Amino acid sequence: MNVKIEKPEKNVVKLEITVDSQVFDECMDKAFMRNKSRFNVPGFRKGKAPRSLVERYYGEQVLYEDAINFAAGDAYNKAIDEHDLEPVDRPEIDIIQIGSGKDFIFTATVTVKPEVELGQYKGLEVQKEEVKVTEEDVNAELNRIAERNAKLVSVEDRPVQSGDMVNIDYEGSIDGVAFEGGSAKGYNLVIGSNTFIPGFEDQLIGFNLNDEKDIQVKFPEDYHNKDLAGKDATFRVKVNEIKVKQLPEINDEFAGDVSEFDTLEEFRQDLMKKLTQKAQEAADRKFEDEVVKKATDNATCDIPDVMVERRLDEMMRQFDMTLRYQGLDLQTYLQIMGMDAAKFRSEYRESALRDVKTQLVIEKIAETEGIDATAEEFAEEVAKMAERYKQPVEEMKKHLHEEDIEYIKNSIINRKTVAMLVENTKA
Amino acid sequence: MMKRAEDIILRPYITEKSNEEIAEGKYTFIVDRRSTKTEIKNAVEKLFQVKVLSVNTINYQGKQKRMGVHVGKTEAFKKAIVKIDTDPKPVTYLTKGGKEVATAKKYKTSIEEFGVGQ
Repeated sequence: MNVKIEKPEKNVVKLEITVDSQVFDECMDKAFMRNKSRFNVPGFRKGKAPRSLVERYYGEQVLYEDAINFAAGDAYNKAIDEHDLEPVDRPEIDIIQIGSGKDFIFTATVTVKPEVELGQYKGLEVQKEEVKVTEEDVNAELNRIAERNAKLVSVEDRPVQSGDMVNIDYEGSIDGVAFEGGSAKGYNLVIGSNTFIPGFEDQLIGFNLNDEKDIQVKFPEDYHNKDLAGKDATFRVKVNEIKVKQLPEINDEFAGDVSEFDTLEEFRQDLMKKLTQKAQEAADRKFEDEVVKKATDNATCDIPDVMVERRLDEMMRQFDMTLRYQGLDLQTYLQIMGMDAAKFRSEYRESALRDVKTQLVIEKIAETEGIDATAEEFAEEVAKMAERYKQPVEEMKKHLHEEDIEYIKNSIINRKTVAMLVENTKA
Repeated sequence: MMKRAEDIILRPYITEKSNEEIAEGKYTFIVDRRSTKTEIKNAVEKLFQVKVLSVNTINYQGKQKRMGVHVGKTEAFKKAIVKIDTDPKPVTYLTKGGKEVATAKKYKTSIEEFGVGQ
């Protein structure tokens, strides 16, 4: 094998690779073995015709495609290894010479990882945010918890008010004719939640328990059901139950109910601590992001389009996954938002570019600083993972593929690099 | 008139079996139906410059085939399996003094043309 390297453009490498005729012949053999069941030569059962006959009958071109894949793939990988190239895309392969008994010559043009020129990344100056949790924050948190623990209490001695939850039966009709979806029994409706068409909830105010009355509403013009839009309807509504939300009083008893503390004072202190911790973590993360951003901004790097496109692909995939958890998918989402894939991509291009650059810069810093993942750190990470998946460590190790190992190492290096950056930052 | 070698040996008969027998030096041909084993031997030796050890022949009758109402016959043919010497000794002759002299004539060890669709 013989390789010539050219650099026609920045970040693009053109390799001219010559594969010896002997090696290529082996690949032809491999290609033949793989495809032989496809060839049909008279006088032979399928797959039994020898290669020389198949070549004579069909022409040796039939084997080229697979042979090229074998030969070029192998040679290309070897060439990449030998010259320490880091491609970020599939190579574009052009064939220069091919034929049995001849050397196989091809060129592979591929985009490689760009060179990063680091700027200042040590001793950066970043404003550190002060963390302050006030009594008010704690009070707000307490109110939220109270809201969550609110009880619904039936009332009987007063008519419906706004904010009540009523249990109703209703039957709707237009011009005396009942329509589909217009009736229900035992429906729980919160007055003022605007769940129903405008006017419906308002007219319920003032109903007494067990009242059964008609109300008149008009469907809005832009109602989603075309048959009903803009029509006047009559609903016969019966109120079965009126309930009101009752917030628990915030006192020692409440503290005992919602937490492991006995007194409100202790609970407040604990909340304070937790909130402070949370705020501190958020601030730390923000600080970290800021540091990394600065370091990235200070570096220069020509990022090839393919890398950005790849990152965009990945982002779209991730986004799709998140949406799927909510029972949507990317296509429907885009439709709802009135976008298409192209627009989505152009909108997120900037952040994709940023991601790619950040990653490259961190890698470069790790390289210049000689940051690496040690065996112990790796073992620790694996142990953590094993714990998360509730599997014995040994079992976990068995299931790790090479890419997984690479990924774990990378994340350790990333973490250490960021930590190093933060350490070397003037706050 | 003597038959020409090209008129006797019509075409190779390439199948899985005949292809395997090449390893033993046996080559199968479709030959003229009227030819004899000796004629086949001579023709093969002339055409391919090999030494023929033996010739086996098989006569195939044409099959009756029918296309609707028309009854026809497929062609009858003769198959010849020719065994050649894959390790031929140089051709020699003895001179008057009992000296052995090798001639320039060389036998080939295989029929390379076999398989080229004729």
